[in-house]
Amino acid sequence: MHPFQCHSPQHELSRRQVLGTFAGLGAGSLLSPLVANEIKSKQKQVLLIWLDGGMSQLESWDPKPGTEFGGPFRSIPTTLPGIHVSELMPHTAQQMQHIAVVRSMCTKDENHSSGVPRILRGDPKNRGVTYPYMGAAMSHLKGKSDNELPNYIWVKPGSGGFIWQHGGFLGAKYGALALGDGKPPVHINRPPGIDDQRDQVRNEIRKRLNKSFQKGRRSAEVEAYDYSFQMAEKLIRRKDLFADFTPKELERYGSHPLGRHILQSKRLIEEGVLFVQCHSYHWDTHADNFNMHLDLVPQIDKPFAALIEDWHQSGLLDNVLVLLMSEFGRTPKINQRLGRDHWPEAWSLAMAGCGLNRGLVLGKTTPNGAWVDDQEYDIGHIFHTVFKAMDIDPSTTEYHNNGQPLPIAHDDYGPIKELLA
Amino acid sequence: MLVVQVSTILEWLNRFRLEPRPMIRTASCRFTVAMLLICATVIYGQDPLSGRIDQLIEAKVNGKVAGPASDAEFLRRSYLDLNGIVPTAAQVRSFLADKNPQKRSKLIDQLLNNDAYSRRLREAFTVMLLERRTGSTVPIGQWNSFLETSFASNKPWDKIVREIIQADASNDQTQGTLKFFTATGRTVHDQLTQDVARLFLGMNIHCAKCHDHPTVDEFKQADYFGLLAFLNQSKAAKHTAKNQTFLVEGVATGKLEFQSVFSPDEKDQVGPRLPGGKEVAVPVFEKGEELSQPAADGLPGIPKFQPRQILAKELTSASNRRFVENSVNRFWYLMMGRGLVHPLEMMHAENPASHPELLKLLAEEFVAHKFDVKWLLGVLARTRVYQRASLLPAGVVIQEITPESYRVANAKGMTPEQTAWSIMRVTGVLDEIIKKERPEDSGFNVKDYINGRIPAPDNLIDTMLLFTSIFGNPPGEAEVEFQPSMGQALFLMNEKLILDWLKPGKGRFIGRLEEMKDFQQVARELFATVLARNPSDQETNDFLQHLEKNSMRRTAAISEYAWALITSAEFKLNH
Amino acid sequence: MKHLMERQLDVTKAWPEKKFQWERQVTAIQFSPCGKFLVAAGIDAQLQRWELATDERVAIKGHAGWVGDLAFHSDQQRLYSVDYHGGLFCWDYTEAQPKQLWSKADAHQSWVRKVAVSPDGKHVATGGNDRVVKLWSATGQSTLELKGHEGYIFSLLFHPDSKSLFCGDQMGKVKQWDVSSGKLIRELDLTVLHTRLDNFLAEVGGVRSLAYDSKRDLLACGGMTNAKSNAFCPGDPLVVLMEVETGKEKMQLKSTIKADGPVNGLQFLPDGTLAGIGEGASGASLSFWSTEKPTPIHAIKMLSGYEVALHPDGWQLAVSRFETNGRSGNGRHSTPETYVSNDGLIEVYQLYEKPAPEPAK
Repeated sequence: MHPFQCHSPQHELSRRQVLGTFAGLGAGSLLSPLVANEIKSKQKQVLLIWLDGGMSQLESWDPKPGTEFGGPFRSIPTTLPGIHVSELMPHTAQQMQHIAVVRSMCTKDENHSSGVPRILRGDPKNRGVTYPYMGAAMSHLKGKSDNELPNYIWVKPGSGGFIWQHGGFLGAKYGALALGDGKPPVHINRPPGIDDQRDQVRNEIRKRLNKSFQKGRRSAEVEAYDYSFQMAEKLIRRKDLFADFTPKELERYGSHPLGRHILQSKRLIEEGVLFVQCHSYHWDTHADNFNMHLDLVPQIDKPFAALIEDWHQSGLLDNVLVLLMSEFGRTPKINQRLGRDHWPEAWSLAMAGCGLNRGLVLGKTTPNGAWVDDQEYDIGHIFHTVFKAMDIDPSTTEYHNNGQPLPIAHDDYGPIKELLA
Repeated sequence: MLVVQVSTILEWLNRFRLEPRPMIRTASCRFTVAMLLICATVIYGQDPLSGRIDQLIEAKVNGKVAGPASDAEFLRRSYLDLNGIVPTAAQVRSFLADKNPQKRSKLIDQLLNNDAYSRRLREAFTVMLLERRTGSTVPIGQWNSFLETSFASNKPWDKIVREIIQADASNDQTQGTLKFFTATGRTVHDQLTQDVARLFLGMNIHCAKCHDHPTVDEFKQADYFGLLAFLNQSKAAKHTAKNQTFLVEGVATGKLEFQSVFSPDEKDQVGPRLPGGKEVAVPVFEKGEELSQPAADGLPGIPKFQPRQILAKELTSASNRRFVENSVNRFWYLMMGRGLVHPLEMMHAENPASHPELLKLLAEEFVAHKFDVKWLLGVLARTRVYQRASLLPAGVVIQEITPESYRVANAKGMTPEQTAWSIMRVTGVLDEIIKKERPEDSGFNVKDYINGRIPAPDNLIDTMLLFTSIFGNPPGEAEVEFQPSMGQALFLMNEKLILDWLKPGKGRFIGRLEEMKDFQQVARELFATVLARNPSDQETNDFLQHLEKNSMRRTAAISEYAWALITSAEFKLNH
Repeated sequence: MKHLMERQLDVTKAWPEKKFQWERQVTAIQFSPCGKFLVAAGIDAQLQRWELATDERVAIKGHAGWVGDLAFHSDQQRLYSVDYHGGLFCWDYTEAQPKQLWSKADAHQSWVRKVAVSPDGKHVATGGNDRVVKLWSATGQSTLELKGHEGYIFSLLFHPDSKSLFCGDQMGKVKQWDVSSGKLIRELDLTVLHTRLDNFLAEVGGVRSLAYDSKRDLLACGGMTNAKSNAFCPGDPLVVLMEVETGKEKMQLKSTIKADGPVNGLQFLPDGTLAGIGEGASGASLSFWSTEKPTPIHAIKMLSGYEVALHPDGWQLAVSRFETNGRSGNGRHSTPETYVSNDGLIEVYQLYEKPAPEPAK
């Protein structure tokens, strides 16, 4: 059970506290060595941009101007002939040739606190275990333990910390390193008197002590604690990751929080972090949906378009998968505060890069925008597609949790063929 | 079950070097077992209830159960749980050397009756009930005084909660209770309602404000508004002459109306009513007749109908099953690291207790013993389940054991307060920090300190502030699970204050160690002080080798080793 | 008509005499100065004109986007309306089928939220998202641009003497402009009606409604305060009474019926009473304040309301509010066939005691 609140400022804060269980946690063991090596051979990475609360598809990817539920905004043409997006996304409209949009998402959960973790864990079949978040899964399947940087970093507003719960049954060490406001934590600087060598010596003693303490004891807590130190060490060595951005960068991406956080996420990917998740909160416009989206959508439009364009030009888009989504869309029906409520029935997300087909819009909704008019896609399909794009074959790859083989994505679904080259 | 009991009792007896095993093979098996049980009772001063608790736990295990914790592990655990601080090296040595078979029971009594006990419970329940909310209307010192005095005098738990809800500022002793209502965020009645439901009834009904809870059938919108109706007339007001804040109540005019956002046309109403309880009728008075005392001194008049006072009684009544079960669940969690119902605020039919009979038993007994907190904690401390080792039994694989099986002790993370007290004690700075007076105008705040604008804290209150801000959650977020963060690791690695504490100096730990000539003794002192146990031979060798490699900088090397012990998982975890 | 002569304005006895329903939420309503019609606009591209005597409805079509607002010219012939595509339209509303006289598709660069006409008929004012208030002649010639607002224009109101214009914006400022010279006369601080906490992604609130009482030189400014988020945007409805000459706040008027949205419409009645209608996720109210005390003298609970309008005869107050159609909220809970938009409802309240029915003869 996940507690959550409505109508309160802590609504969004509490939603991010996922109550994982540490029942029966141990490291889910890996696949056969051969397969593991194959997976690690290519340098692919993922950037997941998450607009928490549910961006309205009608005010972004799937506008229906002049219809019953269409709202006041118009649509604008894009670089894809015949394809329009909301007038609120003029920059992204110019980058559509690099992007694949799926308009026919249809998922099961209309609530945030259950919906958000379900989506981010791929909503697989319920087998009584807590699945890992996409970033933790990727970290486990593709992460290099000798990487200088953590494999799974979460850039977010508010506070940071090590969120071990994202690891699910894979174990605490696959959790997310959260950077509050994208910044490094305080205390990243060593005080005088401790140089690299002394620091290494004292940490080695610490690790020896932990290793022996862990023998014969449940490992989740020790691992989580140890991992927080590992992360600390790695971060101290890479302070350069947090240098200021140039005025030009801020001008291009925007100096608002999401602009800066996308810039920070971009830098982390460019430095080799395997999986970066970038969060923005407060998209859940149950009231004043149109006034709010008027001001919100440009905040993603500008930096997202800049990112796609920059990575296309540098060639990074060939190997980095970019995913832009929310936990659901918003109701076509407008409520009494001129807001839109939650709508998992038909919503949109966008993907780009990493060998996916570009410049296409997949799936369509009915003329009034309320229902998917053709093939519905679940988040399970997306997970399959993401894994495949990352050279992980979901049909031959499994987790092993206490000897129980587990699919890495929902077994009833498969990758979306139209998206894969 | 009998097999389990016998085997575990054998292991327990083994601890005390009794060797009854050969006797089991004879026909007087049952007699032996009876003797063993009597021994257990004698040795552990076991309350029969402790035994029944163990029976209910052991009835449900599906495999081997760990034996008792070692003396050292038990000592450290009880100190942390009941006194909020690790034991000193001297206390460790004394306990380990003590040959009294009843020493564990004696220790429990000692820990329940010293000053540190009431301080520890005050800290634990302040975090649980205020959740680090601040606010200047009621000084935290007043709240602390109320709570600590209550625990010191072993005030019954129902009375403590009743006094909190009554929030009577006219009485010096209960003045501090107002903080529950005036802490930042609590003045919003919705937040207050949600927190009362979570903390005293184990119900997280946030979502039930706008509609019946979407996933928990038991939590209804009427429950939310019924509880709100008890609380929504309460507000703070200042007595002009005394210049003191009171929690007053306005005149309640009727039932609360509500409707679901999903069906705004279907209107409903409810008066003050506890979940599962009877609705309290809201009396209607003639205009002008509502008050029993007129307004005076800046305070509004006292209404004849005071719903919050009624709530204080009804909420804490022994017949309020939810309140009693939530209470024992939280005391169980405090000792065992996990609620019988977990999460603590999700007590409902679809999330049953791991041991429903046990929850019921504890609830009944708590009521029968008139909500006696010390009695309850003593009973729990004297169970085998509490005193179980954290090491797995031989041949058992980690993955098989779930926390709710209690087959091994569940490790708890040290709370921010326990971390602060313990680090101060082990580094030897505790006495000097306690003695240091806090200046009236102490401008210490964590933000300025972290950013290098003001000097390090040197007194208890400011030092605690630093630790709780680094290790605690943001205001309003419950601290239940162990959530180590990289920021906390960085603090332990790079915070100058910690490193200063590990330097040699008068009274400091490292200072004492650097004067010892016998390095083996240093090793023993290190482990006894920081980890409350003796080092193994291997550990001693490891330390000696480290000293040898650093013979030119011995003091620094000792300091490094001490740092590693303090930052080890074994230290951080209350196992 | 005995009862008409004896009736007294008494809001506490207000009763709804008529209802007009429309298939979308209606956000702007006005009575025509001739008193014959009620015209409404809402979240679609049409206006609706109801003839009060017959209840007959005629659609006024021509806009391409949501119609933000409408205002009548005192000549009892012309009607102006504005839309979210930047358009300003002028109609002759008196014909059986109202006809478009002229329109400007790009009167503004983006949404035009409000339109107002000066009582002397000389000036038309429009304002919206481009933060510039534009003045036009009655025939649509651009005359002045009033620049300086830092937020979207949410409310416009001409002074009864037609010499100045009050403009309320998203950031909680009300600027009073001289409409001949275009100079700023004064700025009133209504920032209590604006909230942007650290973790907000957008400005919440703003001065959503204005009403002016010239006798007491009081400007009533409606909106909400203490917003908690930019998602649910819950806050406390609030009306602030400002003494215009001194720029000082006279009083803050509150709602007694619980609501979490802004006060969207305000109107002073002939006897000085202030009527206001508000919005809320679970409903709100039509409230009447005497302006002598902060709480209403009368309040009628209802679903979210968007505007109030006073009939030229001074006895009737129209309110536009939300009307549920089918189930709302998260998720589907209906079939594609039954999934339809919510409605708008206009109720015309008579502001006096309902006369007892005449005994049957």
